[in-house]
Amino acid sequence: MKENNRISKTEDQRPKTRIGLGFREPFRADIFLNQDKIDFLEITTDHYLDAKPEKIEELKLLKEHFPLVPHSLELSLGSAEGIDEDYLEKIAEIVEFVKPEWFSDHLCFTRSGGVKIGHLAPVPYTDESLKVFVRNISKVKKRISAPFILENITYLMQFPSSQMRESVFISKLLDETDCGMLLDVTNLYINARNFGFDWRRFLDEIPLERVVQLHFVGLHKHKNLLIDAHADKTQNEIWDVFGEVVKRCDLKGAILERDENFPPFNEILEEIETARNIISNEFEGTAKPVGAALHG
Amino acid sequence: MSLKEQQNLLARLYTDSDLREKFFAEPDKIGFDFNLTRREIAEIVEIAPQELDFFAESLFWKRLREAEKFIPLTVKILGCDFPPLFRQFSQTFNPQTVRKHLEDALEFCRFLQKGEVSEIALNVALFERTKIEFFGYGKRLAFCKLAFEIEPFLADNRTENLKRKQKFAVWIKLGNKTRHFYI
Repeated sequence: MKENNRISKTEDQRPKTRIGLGFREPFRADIFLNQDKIDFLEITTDHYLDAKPEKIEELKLLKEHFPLVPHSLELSLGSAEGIDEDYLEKIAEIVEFVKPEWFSDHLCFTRSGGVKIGHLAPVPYTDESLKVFVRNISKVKKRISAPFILENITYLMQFPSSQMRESVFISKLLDETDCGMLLDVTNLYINARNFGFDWRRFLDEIPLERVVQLHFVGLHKHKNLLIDAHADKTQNEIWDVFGEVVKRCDLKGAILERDENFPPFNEILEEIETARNIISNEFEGTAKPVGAALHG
Repeated sequence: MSLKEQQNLLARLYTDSDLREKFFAEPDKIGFDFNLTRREIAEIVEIAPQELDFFAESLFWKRLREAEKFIPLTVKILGCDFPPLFRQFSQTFNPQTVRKHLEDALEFCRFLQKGEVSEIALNVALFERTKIEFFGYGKRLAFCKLAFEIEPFLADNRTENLKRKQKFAVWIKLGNKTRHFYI
């Protein structure tokens, strides 16, 4: 009941964008101590697959106290060899247990030919890749009825064989699959800087009405490259992208995604508060596209 | 089906530095082994080698950083030998389960048993491997036979004056309580 109250409260009062945190074990105690400051949590589904009873209990406890959105890592939606049915089934079980408003995975491939790459690998932006994604996403949507949203990744390499820009590829994909988008503003900024494109143009070219959720965290500098290490405090340049997106679309939620180099929890809360303030300040009667992917 | 074959090769190039080197030396030979056409091979050759290398290296270091969280004592006792040993190991093993980092840590400890590291390091790795099997895989009983008294190392990470003495390190779960002791 608490969960339902929380959701309906945010639907009734503006701004309705919820701000939350990617759940990580070291945060557990602080998250419960600061429940009133965290609107929702994103759980990494993979942490609960084939899990020990303690992890399942943890998931139950989180579900009792927070609205949850599952985020998976290895659906490998860009794999030309297709979806791993066993993995999909496990994800489906988690999603069915959590009963979220939406769930998400990435625009990438993570395995091929029996090799697990271990991270999110980019695909060339071609018509063939597009068909692969459409086919795989259709399988996911057939198995899991909750709305599915897709996240842009960072890439450290580009494919000269790409036939279109990433933004065009994503637009076509969202259109063909009728999925929402999880826009990672840090990933967008990093790619734009590393490969010399304008992130504002990227925003111009994607269907912002499909953006449902954001990810944000600080970037990491390595020599002359930027990296998404999920280990740094959100910097001003990322807040700039965050603010611009908030201005231009109507979000359901934003998640701080910190995985490493954990700071004192009050710094996490400060970042959540900063995000909340940006959204509050930006929300002043501006007409924005409304998230079609979730509002039907 | 060209994307499938390209991805098969890319997945190997990302995770196997020897193959990466061979591919950039003889792209056609390796590409044909992966059933790629000349055009498909050319598309991969067009990727800037330094970008591909950097991505592959980032994958390696990410994998290492995740695995080392499960075996801090082994990492500590191996010191600067840990990264090159883990690199050798990473060429020989590709985790297949959803708990890939745990699997990596466990298999790395097994891998060390075949290599040329000190006997004390082997004992520490065996200790952590058994501990992972107990806690990570929900066993109710796990034990290993050690050739050294490693408790002083567990306490302060010092390897000087460790006494050679056979002992069993035991973990046992009784109800909800876990006990760890030496015999």
